[in-house]
Amino acid sequence: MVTAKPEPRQAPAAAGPQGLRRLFGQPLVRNAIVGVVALVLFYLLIGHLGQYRIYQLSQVGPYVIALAGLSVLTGQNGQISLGHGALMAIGAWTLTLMQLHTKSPLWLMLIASALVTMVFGALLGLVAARLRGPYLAGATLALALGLPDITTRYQSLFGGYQGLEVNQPNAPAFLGATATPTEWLAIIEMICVVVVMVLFANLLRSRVGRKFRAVRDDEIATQVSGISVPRTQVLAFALSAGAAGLGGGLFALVSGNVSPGGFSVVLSISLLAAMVIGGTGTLAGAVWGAAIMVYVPEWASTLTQKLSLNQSVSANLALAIYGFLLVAIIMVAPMGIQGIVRLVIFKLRNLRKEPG
Amino acid sequence: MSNFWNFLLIGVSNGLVYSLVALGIVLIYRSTRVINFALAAMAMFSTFIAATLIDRNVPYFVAFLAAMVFGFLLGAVTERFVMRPVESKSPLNAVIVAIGMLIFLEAMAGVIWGAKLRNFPSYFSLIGLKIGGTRLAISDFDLFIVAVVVVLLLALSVLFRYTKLGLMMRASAFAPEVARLLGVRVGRMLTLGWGLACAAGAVAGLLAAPKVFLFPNNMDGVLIFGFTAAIIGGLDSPVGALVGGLLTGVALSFIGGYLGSDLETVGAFLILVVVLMARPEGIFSSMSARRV
Amino acid sequence: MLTVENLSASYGPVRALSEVSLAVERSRITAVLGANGAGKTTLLRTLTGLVPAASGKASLDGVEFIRRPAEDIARMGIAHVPEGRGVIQELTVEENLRLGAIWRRDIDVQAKMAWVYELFEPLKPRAGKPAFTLSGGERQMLAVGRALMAEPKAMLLDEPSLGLAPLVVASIMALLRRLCDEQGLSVLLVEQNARSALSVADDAVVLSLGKVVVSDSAEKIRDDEELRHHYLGF
Repeated sequence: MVTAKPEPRQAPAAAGPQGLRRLFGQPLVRNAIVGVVALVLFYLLIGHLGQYRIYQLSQVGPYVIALAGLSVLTGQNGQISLGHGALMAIGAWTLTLMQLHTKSPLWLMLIASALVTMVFGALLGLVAARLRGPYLAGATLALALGLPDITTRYQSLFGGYQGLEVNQPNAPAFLGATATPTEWLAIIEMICVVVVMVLFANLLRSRVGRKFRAVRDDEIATQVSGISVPRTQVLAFALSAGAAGLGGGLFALVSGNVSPGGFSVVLSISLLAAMVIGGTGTLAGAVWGAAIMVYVPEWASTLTQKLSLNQSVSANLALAIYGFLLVAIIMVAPMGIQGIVRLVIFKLRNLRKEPG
Repeated sequence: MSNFWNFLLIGVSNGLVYSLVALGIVLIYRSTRVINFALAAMAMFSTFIAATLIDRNVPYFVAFLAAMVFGFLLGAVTERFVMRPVESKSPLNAVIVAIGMLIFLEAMAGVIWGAKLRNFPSYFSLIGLKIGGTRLAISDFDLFIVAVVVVLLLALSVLFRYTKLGLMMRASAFAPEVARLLGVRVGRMLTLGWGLACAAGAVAGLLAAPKVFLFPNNMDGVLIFGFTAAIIGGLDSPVGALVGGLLTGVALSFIGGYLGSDLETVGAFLILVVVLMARPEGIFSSMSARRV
Repeated sequence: MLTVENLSASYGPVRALSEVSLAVERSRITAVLGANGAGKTTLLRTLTGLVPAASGKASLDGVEFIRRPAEDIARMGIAHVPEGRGVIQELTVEENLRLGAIWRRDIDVQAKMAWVYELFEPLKPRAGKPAFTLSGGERQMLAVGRALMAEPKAMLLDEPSLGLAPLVVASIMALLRRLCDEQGLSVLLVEQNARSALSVADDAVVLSLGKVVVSDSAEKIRDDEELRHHYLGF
């Protein structure tokens, strides 16, 4: 689990040279190792999955990254955003336009979608630093509504309502001749997810992370103690936007298309809901939230299709189930899914401490 | 008749609908600190009820009243049974529950009435009025909108200013704990507040439907403009909701008229940023007034 | 008569009040004294239903009321003037006063209000002004006046002297004494300012860490130098 909670240091044991031990003690190294292990497991896993399952899995990745950013912003820094869908759109169009007009390599396009969105996020952060709670929510929501309309205004550049096609990269030779673009994309995503998660996990443990939380808990006290509240808030917004932009770039690759319809207000609202349901402020919660965004609607529509209703009714019924579940989960688990997971872990640990 | 005056009049007519939505948002926000995103769906659902009644030959105004009553009940039940248990935990959780309600109600409307676009009767003519040979952009129906909104706002301000009930509702909104110590049944006041807010939303739905048509998420856009209006006005001020609605309506009408309708949403964002940069808590917020 | 028997309350795992017992007769003032965090405010909040009681009883004229909702307790005739005055700042002075008697249908509100304006003359010219325009002393007058609107049987006051000038404190204490005698009120007066509370109170209890450590007549406590030094710091 990659969260900001400091873990108790192990008591020194006899085995192993001192240098190696100190290296393992470093959070960055430890998180990186967890990440690499996750990556290897993931690679082994997709070898056993069908193409459709892999495609489904690769829909989760962009959301994980965007949600991690949103969760850091809201849960750790106390700023709400209903505009992360629009930030994803900026990343998506950055990647698409680069693919269309330049011959940049994939890694460069992905970094560019993060950086361009980060710059935009910093600007938005300057506005956000003056606003609180619902006022910030309203301003970002208006952005989420307005931004997609710009793409229809400048059709020649952004492709209007239909949007633009995005080519999926071919798998490199070292993955073997049978590797499909879908598998390659899933691996790229997992790499991005690991990199972003490790970076965020370390950020949250660092001085910057403490500043974020200080601003969230008490702005006045933080300002008095010599930390610039607006600067911290702009930084949080920029970093969060960077993650959303990278998520957006990957989203474009997975969808094979970018269009204003894909980045409507609904996306922004769904991201916020998924963040809360996953567990606000936790990176693991971002994974739960992303999985819910992809799998619950899918599962609900499979369920309603079995009822042999007409198509419109079954589609709407699936949505209704999704809405109902949102309400139900918040009622049952106010701290989100990660809140439940932590509770279970806590109980299990206590059980082990006091056997019988 | 120049374009300018036409855009202004359309802006006022649309703006009054935004004012009603803003009022619905403000009434709930100031008492429970929750932004009720489900208001769009509640308004739409109530409008569908009216449409169903009108289809069965119920007179327009009876259906209108029935939709208001339905909106009231929907709001009251939602507060009592859905929001009450989550309100105390965190405002963000309550907002997510409201979003869940929005998705649920819109989907249920799709199940019950179908997702197709349908006309909603307007009772009054939608054709522009004629004055001395020139046709205006506003119609009999726009005049009806003005009349309904004015009557409704007057009724609400009388309720809040001059009645015991209104005093209890305001006390519950501003200081729930103190109100309880004075014997006010705060829980009932919250339920009532949600009911009134959603009845106002239902009226907004009935007035918007002839122009935006009727379908399960027909009020989403109106809700966001209403939210914009509420924020511009300052989220806890009913007067601010009215002024914010008019400002938003007129500004969007000019932007749409002179620059193209696809820039209206971008315009809403820019207006919001400009207003909030000058006054981060809206124009009429009592919070900022009190700190002076 | 207000009676409290073995009342306990907790904030989560922290026990804030344990087994508190006291009684206030009609026309008498009992001061509740003690240091910060001794449980004085919690006692009042538990009595008026804002903090749930863990165990114990409380009754007014023989009618049990603990564990009832706060609004019902208020309607029994128990007025709680919370710490920090508790006037509703957004409402006008007059609206605050009206609110005081909002649940009483059998009271002539106009006459009652005129009486309150007589008691607290500075309020009258401010009747139409929002309460946030009042000074600290005026807010305290408004809070007490509002509590009197409903003709309560018992009045619980939380630090009415907080942040007020000594002269204002003295006049408020004197007024409390007068009201208590004239109206037959039972008054529970929570104070950090022990000296001024003891000057008007008939009895006093001293709380320490949520427990009653001393319960005696105000006079005795005033005269017991050692006790005063130990618990009350003067």
